[in-house]
Amino acid sequence: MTFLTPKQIDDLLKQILNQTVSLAQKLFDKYWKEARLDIQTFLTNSKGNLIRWAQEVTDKKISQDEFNELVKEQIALSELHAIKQTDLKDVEIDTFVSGATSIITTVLLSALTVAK
Amino acid sequence: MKRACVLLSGLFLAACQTTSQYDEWAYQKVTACKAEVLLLMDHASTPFADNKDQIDSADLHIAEALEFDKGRPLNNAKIKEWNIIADPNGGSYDEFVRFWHEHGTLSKGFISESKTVISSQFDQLIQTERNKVGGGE
Repeated sequence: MTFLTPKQIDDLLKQILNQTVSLAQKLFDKYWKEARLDIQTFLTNSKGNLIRWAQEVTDKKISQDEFNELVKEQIALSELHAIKQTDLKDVEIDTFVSGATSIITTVLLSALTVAK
Repeated sequence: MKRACVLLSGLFLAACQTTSQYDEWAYQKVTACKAEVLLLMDHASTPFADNKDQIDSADLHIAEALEFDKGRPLNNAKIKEWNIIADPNGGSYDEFVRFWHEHGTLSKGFISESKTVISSQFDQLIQTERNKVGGGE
């Protein structure tokens, strides 16, 4: 079992936010602010789940694939209200969600592996 | 005159109704679907192929309940909630079954986390039915 301090968790969430904003700027420069708002809302609401699931991966209770799936589902449930109000196509939003899922997985699992 | 007023008031209220009437069959069907799906999810630590019959049965019962709800007037809120669970393009239950199919078996940790999400989505559906006119305690 590895514990992260609240400050470490906040730093990780900031890293995730910055990287997803960069991704949004690459994918659809016009709507990066909407993407930022949606991901920020998602991270605020899902912080507890994300850390618990990442912990479960390091404890080998769930696999990395399962972690990815839970994150993807959680993002889908958050509904991404701001991005969905733009004229972006579903396929562009899906690409962004896949990229964001990958960023979340990499940042959280690397941090927990190092902390272990 | 008094009876006519009462009748007119009743008609007016019916015309203003924004949600369908509570339906006992729909309520029982959604609670049964919840129980069946959660029980099925517990089996996801065993091979997908070994559970094909139970999966088909759950799919059929969900389809029956959804089709019944689609046929009810003023029922859009409930259809929207059903789609979150059972939309073939990303509904949480369909996504769980697809993931199980892809991976063969799933870990108990993943099953437990997924059950929490899907259970609360079914609870929302059940609550929506109970909140309809004539429903509740």
